[in-house]
Formats: sequence, structure tokens, C-alpha cells
Amino acid sequence: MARMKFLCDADRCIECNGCVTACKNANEVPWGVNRRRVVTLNDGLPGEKSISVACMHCTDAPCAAVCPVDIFYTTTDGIVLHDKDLCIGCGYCFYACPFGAPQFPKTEAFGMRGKMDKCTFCAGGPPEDGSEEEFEKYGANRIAAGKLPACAEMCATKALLAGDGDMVADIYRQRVMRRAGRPQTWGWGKAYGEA
Amino acid sequence: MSEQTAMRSKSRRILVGAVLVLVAAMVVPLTGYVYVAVAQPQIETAADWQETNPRSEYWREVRQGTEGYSAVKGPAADVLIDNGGQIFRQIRNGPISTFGPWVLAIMLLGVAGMFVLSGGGQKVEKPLSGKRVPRWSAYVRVVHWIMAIAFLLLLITGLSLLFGRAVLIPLLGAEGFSAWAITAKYIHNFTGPVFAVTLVLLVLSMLRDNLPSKVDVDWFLKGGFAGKHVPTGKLNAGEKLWFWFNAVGGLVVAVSGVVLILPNIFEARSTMQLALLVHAGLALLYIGGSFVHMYMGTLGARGALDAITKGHVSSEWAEQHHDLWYHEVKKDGEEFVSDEDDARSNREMPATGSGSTA
Ligand code: HEM
Ligand code: SF4
Ligand code: SF4
Repeated sequence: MARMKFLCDADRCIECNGCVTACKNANEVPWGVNRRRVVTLNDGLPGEKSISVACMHCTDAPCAAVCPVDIFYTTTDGIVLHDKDLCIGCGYCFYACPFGAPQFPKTEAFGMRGKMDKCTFCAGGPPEDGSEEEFEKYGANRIAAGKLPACAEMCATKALLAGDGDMVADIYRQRVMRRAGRPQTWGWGKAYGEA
Repeated sequence: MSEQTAMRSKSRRILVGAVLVLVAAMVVPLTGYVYVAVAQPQIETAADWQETNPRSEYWREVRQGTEGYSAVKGPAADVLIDNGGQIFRQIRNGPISTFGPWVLAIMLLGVAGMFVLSGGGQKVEKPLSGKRVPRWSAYVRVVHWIMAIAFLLLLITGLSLLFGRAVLIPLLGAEGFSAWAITAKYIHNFTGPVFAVTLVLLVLSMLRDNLPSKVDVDWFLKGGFAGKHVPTGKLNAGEKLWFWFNAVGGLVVAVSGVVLILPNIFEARSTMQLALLVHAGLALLYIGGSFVHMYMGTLGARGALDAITKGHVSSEWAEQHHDLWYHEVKKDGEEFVSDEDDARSNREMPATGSGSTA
């Protein structure tokens, strides 16, 4: 079985935010929520680099460990999904997540949190695959349709890779072999417990 | 003779040698600091000269959670990796979740032990004459009970959030528990501010009666906490301890709770992580303490409940538990014999007043 992973090649990302837009468009995410974002370090300085980040679909996911209502589940593809119907909007998953992935639409009274929203690897959620209910609540289910996440597919420089971890790692290794320097599978140590 | 001197000087040499070895064993490793102090500037200059590798710098910054720039705005959006989450997870799912139930169980057992050892709680020894002394004003009693009800609601809903996943999901099922957890969150979030306000009001109005005095030291030294009768004023040192735990610990629970219900104001993830850990950890100690308080107020010292429900206590109870205070109140002529007197005392007592100063 595939083990889905994201990898952003920091030597290729040009901070165009195309992935962010592709995600918003494909999933019609709630107002004020961005499931993906691009972060630039040393902005405008020598050594500036950008990385596109969303939920990394962690092995032993911290969000799932602290959720008081235990609503996370990992699909056979290694994708971390959650059941919005049962979410109480406590925000604990946001406190625990290393990547700042969980988001909360600000729709409730007194600024209380609504139901948590995060990247689904374009794999929808608990309702029937491809159903209207699934799209309403979780966005597109491209995985069920045999497609990869919209963000990676849209990436013009192919900096953002999404798919089976072994294949992603192979592609990246080939790239790095043609460059001088060591590979940097950024975030993998944190998300998957490996280098 | 000379043989003896030689022996003595030999043993002295051994002693001095041993001391030297000991001192050396302690001092020599410290030279590492000297090396670091001397070597540090050299390492730095060498690095400057070779020029740092911007790539490795970059990944270090990513790992250390350095803030960057993101076109997407929102809490924590500018940081790639935050390490605080791991600590948060380990402490909440670790010590708080494992020691918490132990704290509660030990306090419950302690209360049960006190009940058994005292032969079913302390009863008033002298026969009741019907005479009474006023103790808490209507204002204090009302504030106390609003706060107590809020506390119980917060206790039930808070513990549901902390232990519901382990205890209630197996009982209610995922859907059932989620429905209760959403309700519990609303109850907790709206009761919290009520608790916070009444806590502050009660602390302010009881402050004067709870200032520590020399009598309190004696109470601890002479075993007042073990149920011995030690002369005390209006409140004994144990009661004052509970007051100060409320005034400090309770306030921290309240403040951290208020931080947690305002995610739009306190956006920083680190603030929220710390607030929840402090809130949950202290709340558990607070709940444990409240078990003792509730026991003492009902079964532990029979007759005490009248003080915070009716506002007055029997003169015999007052003399047995708070003799110094009782004699003072009696001297001031505030001992009442009839219900009309009680009614009058309720009307006349100032809002913040204690009986002794009215
Ligand atoms: C000043 C009043 C208080 C406020 C504003 C407050 C607020 C909060 C908030 C916002 C949470 C996070 C969960 C959620 O979003 O619903 C929480 C959790 C919690 N509160 Fe409070 N609270 C207050 C007082 C108390 C008191 C008095 C207790 C104990 C009797 C308590 C016990 C707990 C517990 C056990 C949790 C769960 C922590 C966890 O799941 O890790 N709280 N509180
Ligand atoms: S990145 Fe965050 S939200 Fe996604 S699985 Fe890991 S901890 Fe959960
Ligand atoms: S906000 Fe929702 S998903 Fe996140 S920990 Fe709370 S209940 Fe679970």
C-alpha cells in the first residue's frame, strides 16, 4: 500500500502561492481558512528560501493524540483525516501540531472556534466518496478519483511533490544527485520519524 | 618513638594525598569550561572566515521555529515547525493525564480516612442551648453559592474534556460523547467568567478574616490539622490555607481559562499551550482540595454548614471550633437567642462584614 507524503523542494519553490490558490479553488475552503501556505525565511536577504506547507499527515499524529473526542483516523494510504461532525472546536489539535495545520473558521459567537479544518491530501472525509456532503464539509476527494492533490499538480516548478513516499523520495534523490549538496527532505524527521 | 612519628607522618601523607585526589577529581573536569571559554571565540572567527553555509543555517532556522514571512495571515502562519506542540502533547497526555486521577483518588481516600479516624466526623460536644452567633453575611453566602455551583459545573465539564476520551467514549460511544463534549464546552466557556468574577468578589470580602496571625503557626505546630483542638479565631489555619489556595491557585486557573476562551486575542500558540497545561494541572489540584473543603463543611465538622447556608452557627459549635472568635463575639454582645434576632442580624450586617467587626 502507498504511504502518501508531501515534500517541498526548497531549491525550486519560488513563492508564487500557486499551490495555496489551487487548494482554495479545488476544496472551496471556508472563509478565512488556508489549508496550505508558503513560508519564506530570510525574505529579501541572501539565502532566502521558501517552503509550501500544509498538514504533513504525520505517522503517530500529535493532533490525533490530544483530541479530546478522538476523531482522527489514518487511511490505508497514510492520510490523516478527521470527522467534523464530532469536532467540538477546542483547538487542542492546533496546540499540538508542529506544522500549524489545523485551522478554525471564525464563525461562532464571542470568537469561539468552529469545527476544525485542515488539508485532507485531497482525500475528502468520512461521508461517501465524491458525495455532495463530503465536498461541502471536506472539499474535493481527488484521491478516490485516482488523482493527486491539486496543490502539487498545479505547482509550476514541481517544487511541491505529493504521492507515495518512496516515489517522492526517488524523484527527489535524482534531483539532488544532479545538484551539489546533501538532500533535505524537510519536515520528514518531524512528521514521519525518519531522516 | 621514631617509628611512631614515621607512622603518623605516613598516615598524614595518605590523608593529604586523598584530599588532593578528591579536590582534583572535582576541579579537573571544570577545566572544560576554560577550554570552551578560550576556544569559543576561535571557533567563531574560523567560521566567519570560512563563511557559514547558508543552507545548513536555513534548516537550523526551520527546525528552531524561526519566524519567516507568509502571504497567508493567521495564527502561527509565519512559522514552519513549532516544537512546543510536542512538549504540550507529552505533558498533557503524560503527567497530567496519569497523575491527575491519582491526585483525585488520594484526596478521596484521604477524606474517607479522616471520616473513619474521627469516628464519623466531629460532632458538637456540648448539648445545644439554642443560642447562636452570626457568621457570614447574606452577601458572602450568595456569592459563595454562585461560585460553588459554577465550580461544580466547571469540574464536571472540565473533567469530561480531559478524561472523557478514556472514560466516556467507551460508555456513550463516539457520537454520544461528542454531543456531550460540545455541550460541556459551552457550559465550561460560559460558566468560567461567572466563576472568575465570584471568586474575586469572595476573595475580597473574606480577605480581612484570612490574614495570617501567630495563632495559625500554633495551629500547625500543635496538630490542628489532625483534628486537635487548638485555640483559633474566626478561621483556623487550615481554612486560611484553603482561602489562599483559592486566592492564588484559583485565580491562576481563572486567568489561564480566560486566556483559553479568547483565541482571537491571545493568538500565540505558545501562550495557549502553556495556558492549557497550567489550567489543567492546577485545576486537578484545585478539585482535589475542594474534596477536603466539601467534606469539612458537611460531615467533617458537623454544624459548620449552617454558617454558609443560614449565616449563623450554634454558640456551642463556635466555642468548640473557634473559641477565640466566639469569646470576642460574645463580649460584643452579638449572641442571639431567637429567630427575630437572627433576622435582625442578617439585615444589619454590612456587606463585607464579619460578625466580629459588625
Ligand atoms: C475562570 C474560569 C474558567 C475558565 C474561563 C475556563 C476555561 C477553560 C477552557 C477554555 C478550557 C479549554 C477547553 C474548552 O475550550 O472548552 C478549559 C479546560 C479545562 N478546565 Fe477550565 N475554565 C475555568 C475554570 C475551571 C475550573 C474552576 C476548573 C476545575 C474545577 C476547570 C477545569 C478544567 C479542566 C479539567 C479542563 C480540561 C483540560 C484538558 O482537557 O486538558 N476549569 N477551561
Ligand atoms: S501535520 Fe499537524 S494536523 Fe497534520 S497530521 Fe501532523 S499533527 Fe496532525
Ligand atoms: S478542535 Fe476538533 S479536531 Fe481539534 S482537538 Fe478539538 S475536537 Fe479534536
